[in-house]
Amino acid sequence: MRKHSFYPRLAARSIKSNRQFYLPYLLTVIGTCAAMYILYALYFDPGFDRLGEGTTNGQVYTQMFMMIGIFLVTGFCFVFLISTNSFLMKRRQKELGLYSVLGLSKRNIAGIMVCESLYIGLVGITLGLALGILLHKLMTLLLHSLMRMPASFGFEVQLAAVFSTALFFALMIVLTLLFNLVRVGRLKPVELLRGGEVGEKEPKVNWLVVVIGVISLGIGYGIAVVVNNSMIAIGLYFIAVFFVIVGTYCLFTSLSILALKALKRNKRYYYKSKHFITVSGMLYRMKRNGVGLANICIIATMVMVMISGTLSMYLGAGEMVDLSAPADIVMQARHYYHYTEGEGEETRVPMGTEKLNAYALSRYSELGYEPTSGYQVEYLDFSAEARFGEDDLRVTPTIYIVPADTYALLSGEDAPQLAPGEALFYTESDWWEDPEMGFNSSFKFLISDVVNGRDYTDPANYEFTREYRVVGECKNILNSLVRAQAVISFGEGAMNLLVVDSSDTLEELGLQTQHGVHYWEGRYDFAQLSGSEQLDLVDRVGSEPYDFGAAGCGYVGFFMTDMRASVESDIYGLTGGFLFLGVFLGIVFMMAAVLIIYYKQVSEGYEDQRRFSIMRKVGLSEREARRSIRSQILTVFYLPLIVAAVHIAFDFRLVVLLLTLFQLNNAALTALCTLGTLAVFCLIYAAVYALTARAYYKIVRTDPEEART
Amino acid sequence: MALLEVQGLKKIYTTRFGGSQVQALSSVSFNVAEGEYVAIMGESGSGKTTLLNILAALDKPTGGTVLLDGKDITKIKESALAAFRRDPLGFVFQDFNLLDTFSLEDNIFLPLVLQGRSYEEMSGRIGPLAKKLGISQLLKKYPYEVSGGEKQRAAVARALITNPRIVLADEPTGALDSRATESLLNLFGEINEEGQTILMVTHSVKAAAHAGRVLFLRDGEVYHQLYRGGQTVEEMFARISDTLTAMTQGGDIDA
Repeated sequence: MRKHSFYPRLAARSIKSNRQFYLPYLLTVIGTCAAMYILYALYFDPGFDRLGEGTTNGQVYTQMFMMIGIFLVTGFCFVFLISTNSFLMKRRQKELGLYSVLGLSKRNIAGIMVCESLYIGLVGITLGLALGILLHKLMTLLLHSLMRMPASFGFEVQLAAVFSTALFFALMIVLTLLFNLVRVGRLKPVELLRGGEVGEKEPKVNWLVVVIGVISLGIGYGIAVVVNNSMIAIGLYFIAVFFVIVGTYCLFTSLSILALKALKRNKRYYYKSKHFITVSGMLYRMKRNGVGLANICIIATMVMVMISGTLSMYLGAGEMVDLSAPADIVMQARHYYHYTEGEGEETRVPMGTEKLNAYALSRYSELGYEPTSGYQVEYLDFSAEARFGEDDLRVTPTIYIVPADTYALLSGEDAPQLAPGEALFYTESDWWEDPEMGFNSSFKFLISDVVNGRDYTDPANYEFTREYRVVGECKNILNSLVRAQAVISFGEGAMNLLVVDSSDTLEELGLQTQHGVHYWEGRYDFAQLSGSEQLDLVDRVGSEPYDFGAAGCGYVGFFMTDMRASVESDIYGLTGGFLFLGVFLGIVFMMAAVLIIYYKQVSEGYEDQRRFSIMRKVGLSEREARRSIRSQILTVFYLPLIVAAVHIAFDFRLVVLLLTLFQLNNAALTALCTLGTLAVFCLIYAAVYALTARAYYKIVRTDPEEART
Repeated sequence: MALLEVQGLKKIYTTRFGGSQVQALSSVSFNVAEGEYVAIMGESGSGKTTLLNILAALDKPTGGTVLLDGKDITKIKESALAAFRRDPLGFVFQDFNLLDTFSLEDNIFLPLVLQGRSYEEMSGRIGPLAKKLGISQLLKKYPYEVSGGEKQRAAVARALITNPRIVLADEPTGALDSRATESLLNLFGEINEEGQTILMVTHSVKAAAHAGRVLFLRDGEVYHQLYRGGQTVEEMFARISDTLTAMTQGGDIDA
């Protein structure tokens, strides 16, 4: 039938003649399709069929991360493909109008549209899947090496992933087609033919938008500057992000116009050939393209935050491992002094730390293993009350009490010479001055010193039965103590440290105050064993229950064994997965940014073609034209990048705070990662600029009249 | 010495794929004296636009010379072309070629800005000029806010503000209604009386009838010319019409 060859031919021709717009669109479909396939393929990895028995943390993390990735990329594709499609259709209004004038019915045009979608869908999905399948193996290897998981070999195509990806993109194409058909239904050919040549009013400054923008940005930045606590940071982070995004959109669309208008009002500046064309051109550009620039700015910020954050986490993983597992095998015993239920009097008996080490080591020597090195530490955690108190959820400060020998081991300094009743003290907060927050136990410091810039010499407000004379300050071991707490440390975030003379004093304090947790840790290295052998050993040792009573120890309320090997696989699984996802999504979002930039340049090129042709006729030289185009593009191009850099500068503090939740306390590393990411991003951005600027020049240089014939 | 001397101008276009050649101008020669108002007439394809493009240095001739003040403009270097277009020449186009992003005032300033003049000088020049052209009240408006006739007046102002040696007008009435046409032609007459040299390409008899001399182009050559002498516009109109009739009938003209 005649009709059957007519639609496909016209559709193919239309795509071909619009290839400047359709090719990048197709490439995006291919790219996102490949990305989606990879995420699905990693998610459906057959290795996970045996979930449960033998499933490692790494595999669970992989599934979690891929789930997040699929979720984000799905949402992203949805928004991005639909908006790009609508942009393409707007550019084609004239063509559609022409079809209509030439006598094609709306049904005919719809037929062409269906064929076009079919082509784009078939080619995009097929090539996308092919690319995804090709890259899948590489991505698997990369992911596994980042997560320090054993690599699997073999080349397999995940049918479930192929199916899921193809289905999603087919739905997307159908959805965009529906949008286009609705558009065709509303077609008014005469208007369309004329379309795009109606004059546009000079944009006005909308003061309301300026004010909203300034306030939003102020709130967003304000949060970033003011927040000091990681728990509050996690709650406020997305609120700050929201305000910054709103502010960015408002300011790109309004403040830019305001600035340009101010330049225009300065007549001596404005009426210079260099500025005249640039300022007037940009003034009009900003109205329409402010949103596009804001999009680019936000995507750029997002990509950089994601990559720099996950990168510093990954690079800081070694530090986190050291903190969480200071030795190959860490045995930890806890004694809860305030715990009175059930056990009665027995709980009042301290755990007898001097016998724990011998007992722990005996369990290993029974199996014929001796640690290559080892040491033990202990401390009293006095934040326990706040955590276990039932009706009192008030945040109370954390205080760690450490004996002098532990302090020496952890800080690497010589053991401080302390007499009974003497202590070293360090505080990060001023809770001592707040009676409400006061340490409501019978425990008293006699602080004879000014510590951390504050005078604590007046103990009148507190009722302590035991007096300590603070003889100095100590700070550097706090972090290594925090590790014993949950990954996320609650409380004020401010830490207090008291170093006393001996372990006996700890027990005495615990017994007397009837609260706090007494920690004992034996830290042993087994250098002769590999990670998996160590895991094996701990399994074997643990198969026989611990009997502390029989060993002559006191009461142990809780006992556990940490292994560096498993902590390592856990932390690298988490941070490696984060990094993979961060970079992977970063690349997908970058692709979008590149496409937006490209479309911006090309559509602006067509807008500027006529302007420059007229100016050339009136005597604008090629050199001047080039110069003014360059300054215009450069400004428009680098503005989003500069604003993104400012966003990141403000965001930096929050990221550092958030990373402390993952036990990463290395702002310098984060700063380095952020700067590195920024530098790499700038390079990529500059390359994209060079490429798309060429497309722009090429369009602007052709005379529109010649171009028509 | 004539202001503009066109000698044996020839232009051959080669089609894009190098197949056939099209001769747009075979041999065109004429002079324009200072203060003259010359109209060039001809049908579509007679070479009018090609001639104008060459005079504006937008296009290079295949042969012949164009002397402006005794200087051969076909030999101007690429780098000096833009300066040539904006200094001694002023342009008026059929479709106005005003920039929508500029107010009328800024459109008029454009060539001065490109010349690098100071703002004080520009604002000093525009006042009397706008008054003469009757657009003083419109200067702050944008092209899409005013009528075609007003746009063309602004375009004329843009052409005159540099005090050009010669104004080249390409179908300046082509996009105007009859009233606006009449008023623009009167304006051209006044400007010419003040000493401005004008070369206008048109196929409107009415427009040509206002000129001091009319050149007729046919098949790339100057086929005929008419001098106004002391005749009125109406008399001139009749003679031009007769000439065109004779041309289309292919007869000789010995009027």
